[in-house]
Amino acid sequence: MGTVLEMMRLSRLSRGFCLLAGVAVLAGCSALPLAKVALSRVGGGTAPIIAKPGKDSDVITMTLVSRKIKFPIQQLAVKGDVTLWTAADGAQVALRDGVMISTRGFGMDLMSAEVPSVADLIDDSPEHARKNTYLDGLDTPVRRVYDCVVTPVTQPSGPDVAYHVLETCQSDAGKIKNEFWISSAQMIVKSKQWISSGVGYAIFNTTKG
Amino acid sequence: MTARRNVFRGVAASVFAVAAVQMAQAEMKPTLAFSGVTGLIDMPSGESQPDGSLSVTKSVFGPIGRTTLTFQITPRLSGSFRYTSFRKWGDVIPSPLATNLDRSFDLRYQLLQESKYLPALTIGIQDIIGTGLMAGEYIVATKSVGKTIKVSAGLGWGRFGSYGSIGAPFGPRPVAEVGLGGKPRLGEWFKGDVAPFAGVEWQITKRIGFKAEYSSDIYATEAGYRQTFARNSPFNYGFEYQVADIARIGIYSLYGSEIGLSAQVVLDPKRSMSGGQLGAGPLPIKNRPGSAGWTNDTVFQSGSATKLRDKLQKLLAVDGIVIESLAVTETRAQLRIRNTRIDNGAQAIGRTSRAMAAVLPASVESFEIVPVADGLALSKVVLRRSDLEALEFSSDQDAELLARTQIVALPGQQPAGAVLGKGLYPKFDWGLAPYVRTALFAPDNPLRIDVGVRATARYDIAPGLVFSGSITKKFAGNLNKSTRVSNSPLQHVRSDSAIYDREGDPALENLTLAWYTKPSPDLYGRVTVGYLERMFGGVSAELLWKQVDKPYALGVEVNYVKQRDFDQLLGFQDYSTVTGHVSGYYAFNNGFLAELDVGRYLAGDVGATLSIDRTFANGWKIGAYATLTDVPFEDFGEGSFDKGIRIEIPYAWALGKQTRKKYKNTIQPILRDGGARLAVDGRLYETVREYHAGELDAKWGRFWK
Repeated sequence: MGTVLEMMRLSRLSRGFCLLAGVAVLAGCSALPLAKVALSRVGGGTAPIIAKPGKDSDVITMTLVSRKIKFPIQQLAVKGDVTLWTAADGAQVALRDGVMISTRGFGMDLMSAEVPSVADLIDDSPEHARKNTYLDGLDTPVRRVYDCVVTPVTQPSGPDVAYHVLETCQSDAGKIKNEFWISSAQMIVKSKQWISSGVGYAIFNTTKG
Repeated sequence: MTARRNVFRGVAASVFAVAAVQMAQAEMKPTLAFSGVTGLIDMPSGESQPDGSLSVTKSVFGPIGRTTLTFQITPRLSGSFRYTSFRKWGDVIPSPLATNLDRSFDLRYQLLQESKYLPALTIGIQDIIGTGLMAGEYIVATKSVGKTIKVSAGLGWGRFGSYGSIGAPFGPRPVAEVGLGGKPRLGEWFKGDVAPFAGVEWQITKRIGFKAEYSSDIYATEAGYRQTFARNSPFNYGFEYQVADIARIGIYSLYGSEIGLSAQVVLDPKRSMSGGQLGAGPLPIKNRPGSAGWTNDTVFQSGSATKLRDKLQKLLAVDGIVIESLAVTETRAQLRIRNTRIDNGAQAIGRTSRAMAAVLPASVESFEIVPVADGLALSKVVLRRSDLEALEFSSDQDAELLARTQIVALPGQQPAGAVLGKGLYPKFDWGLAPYVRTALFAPDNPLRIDVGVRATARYDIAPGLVFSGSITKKFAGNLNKSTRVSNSPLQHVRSDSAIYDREGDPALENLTLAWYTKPSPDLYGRVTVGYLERMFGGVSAELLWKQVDKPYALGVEVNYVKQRDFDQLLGFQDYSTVTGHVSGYYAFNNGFLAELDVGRYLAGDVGATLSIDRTFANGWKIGAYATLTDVPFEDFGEGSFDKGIRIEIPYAWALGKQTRKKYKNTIQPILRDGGARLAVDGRLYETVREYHAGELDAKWGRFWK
């Protein structure tokens, strides 16, 4: 499976490079050998990882919904109410009391965010604002402001779940729907949260399975 | 290890998968015509491509093939450079040319953008400064009907007014004088017969489109006079298929007699091909204890700077950042760095600041990061450590940090007590890599290309003092196949390039000793001696004045050079000259960069070059230049004056990986001798500008990446 995905990735890159080389020589895709050479020179290999977690750090699971890929992420650092998690390849996710505020290394990352607290998600006032910052293709920050409404999902599921809520957020760019499973101690035990239009939704699960 | 690899593959693959999903949801795109401008099949439309897009269209029907490069210069203005081949040119009417090769340049301006009730409306001029073979003007409107249909209708003159004319409202069209080309034929525009044309485009599915049109081009020369194909009908139709987000192909029936094919590639600099930067995240900002808890270990002690430098270098090496020097006091650290891998200067500074926060004692509050290139200290970025700590996870962290950061000038000298980077001087480095050299759109061949291997060597003697050289050995190619012999009455400073290509194998491309210096905080200097470029050697001296926070700069360059032997080894020819320019630079807020060079060129001619480039924060750069000198057009020869288009595309944009390498090319179809500049390496402006305020501001979004 892994090899297939890697081949897919290289094939797409190679094709992209071929098209780019098409611009280079304005001669269709005849420069394929050149593309391969260029690819081997500038791409290839995973980037070295600078930030590594401790041996016995906490682990939770993350799933990228669009590809149905599930993998562990390990606690890298704790700063007040923010916990920074890292995947084995060095990609990072920062959660503020379980609510995602940034990612790194996923491609189109969530650079930063103004998010609701856990209390905002379960209190009696269902409306709040959310602001996500992304980088566009020019590396220019783009800020998306959402108007959000929290609605309870009728049947909380799971033994530790006291609240199961849906956060529906609308902006000019469209609608996103985040989902949170929250314990009676007001801890988010599971969530499905929007990263970006380039990555889609991620599911975070603090419990096994 | 296995888990790590699988996760990486998963993350990377997901990015591409979602990119594909996005494409499927995209609305009806503006597509391209056979002529490479936004349009139907053989007729233009009123739409524009996304701002900044660069497209390449290759099309062929019957005996006519076209390759067009189009750049959407602004949201409304676009320019196209086209290379057209007319086969069977001499089959019926005798001609010395079996295939006629023609180059043309268009400009289009969108007068109206489509709104609820009004159509998009565009005025265009085809073949402005070429030979006039493709000359035509038009005004065309396009309106969407629902989400899947677009209807276009227009009026055309010249070529576009040659079939089904309804009159000549602005008088007769003067007979074209082909001459040397290169001059606009203002008197012809919108003169002569005008004819209507129209068409429709229907997006049948997400990927499949259908186009049909009524063409007002009679192909008077190609189908009429020279009878290279039969034009039996004005109606054309065909199907197109969106292969990928950036690529589209099509098959068509044209003029009732011919099958046509087209391939379109549209690259939008604003949409990264890789979906964004992949790879590992940065170091978290390390928490400091409160000042009450500081001990001897957390307050800087003099003498430990070397250990700190080594620790920092270990962390920074992961991102390809090399320490030039470190100077630390109890409260302040100045770190001079060389960024060898990250394509974005702000991100390199961000990664450096994180390493400083991880390593430096808690008492050090002020971080001064100085990017250095070729030994030149380019600017000083001053950050407060407590700001980094406070903003690491805050919303709007980029804007808030930029507002609290100072980007200031500094002198070239190292600060007192600086510990130099380990093993940097003297240092020898070498490399071996494949190379590709192209000559595009020459009058006798659209594509000449050589491939081979290039050996490079560099010896850093001291900061700013570099001895370097490169040698190429060709493996294959056809650059040496050009049989054109220069007829230039000027000294053949460039027009003998085919002889250089033929005889320079192997070739010593350059071998120079370069000295870079910074005499004052705003002044930068360079002196280069040796074999400066393929065709000239000598001495080159440059001085640049650029204030760190200003958009303008001034430079002066003087060179004494001698023309090299064709074999590009160590010998010289008899020709020597003094050449040089005074250069003014201005970086506009919208990303446009203007450069005016006034001076004496290689052939001894005197004049000026104006260059306009559109730069993008992600490193894309597309522009054009033109040079006018006191060489008369007839002495200059074909093309009348020197001009070209240049393109730079960063590999990081395509691959999402850390690399500073770029694809660079200049399309200069005719290499003549007037207006030719020395091509010396290491000119200062681009190097200096990268780490000055305007550029760092534009790229600051990636500081926290």
